Amino acid sequence: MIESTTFLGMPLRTLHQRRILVVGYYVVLLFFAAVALWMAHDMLVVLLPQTVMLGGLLGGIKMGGPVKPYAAPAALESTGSIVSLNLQGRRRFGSSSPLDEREQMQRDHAHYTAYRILMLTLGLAFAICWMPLDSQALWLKQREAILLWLLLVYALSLPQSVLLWTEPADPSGELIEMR
Amino acid sequence: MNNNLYNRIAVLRAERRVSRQELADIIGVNVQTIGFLERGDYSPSLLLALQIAEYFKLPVEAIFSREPMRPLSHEVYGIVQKKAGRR
Repeated sequence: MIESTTFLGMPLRTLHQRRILVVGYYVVLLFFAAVALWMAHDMLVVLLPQTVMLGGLLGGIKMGGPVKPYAAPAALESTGSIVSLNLQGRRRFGSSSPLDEREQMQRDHAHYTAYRILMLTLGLAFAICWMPLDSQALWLKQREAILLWLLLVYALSLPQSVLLWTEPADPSGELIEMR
Repeated sequence: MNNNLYNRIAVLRAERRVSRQELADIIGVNVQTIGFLERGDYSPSLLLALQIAEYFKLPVEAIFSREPMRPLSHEVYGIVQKKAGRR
């Protein structure tokens, strides 16, 4: 089990702290994107380490980020040459995950929400790209690698951002606590 | 339709002097999940509900209910009153 959400060793117990981190993260990301768009020709080499850093900052790096990581599902148990179908869903893999069932549900919900946000963003992006504006299309064409980079980091960080944004405050210490 | 699931985990835990951390370790969940369960913010799976019931050595319906739980003292007092009424 992962005990609590931390960022670079600092605990993030309240919703307020988590939301500040998310806002700060996107401010930094937009800053990098703006600089990269401005210096379009020289920035591609610099973008690579930024992708690793920004993509991993919110939890992409296993156990390093503030968001509880995904656990890779365990290999199917095989008793012979035939592997049975998994009819029990994720429960079968439950014991191998560092997350308990509530955390898994929270994580799945965050990814579903992130998927919907990403689809909306992509829809808007394509609508803008297809607008019959020649100068704008040319400007975008010159910077499509940077825009793809921005999309990649955005897609990488979105589920973690949703989780940080929505995860309620740590309820520890409420009600009856013994010892 | 009311989808809330009420429980007596906090009361049972206090009664048996078990900390959240201990209960979490025994049933294999995060300590925060115990808090969520006690507050009614999370409805457990059947497996988890059975594990909790097994730990407290009580039937599941004694711990979880779809109706708000009556205080244990009321129920115990009610039984005592019934017995006294029969005599």
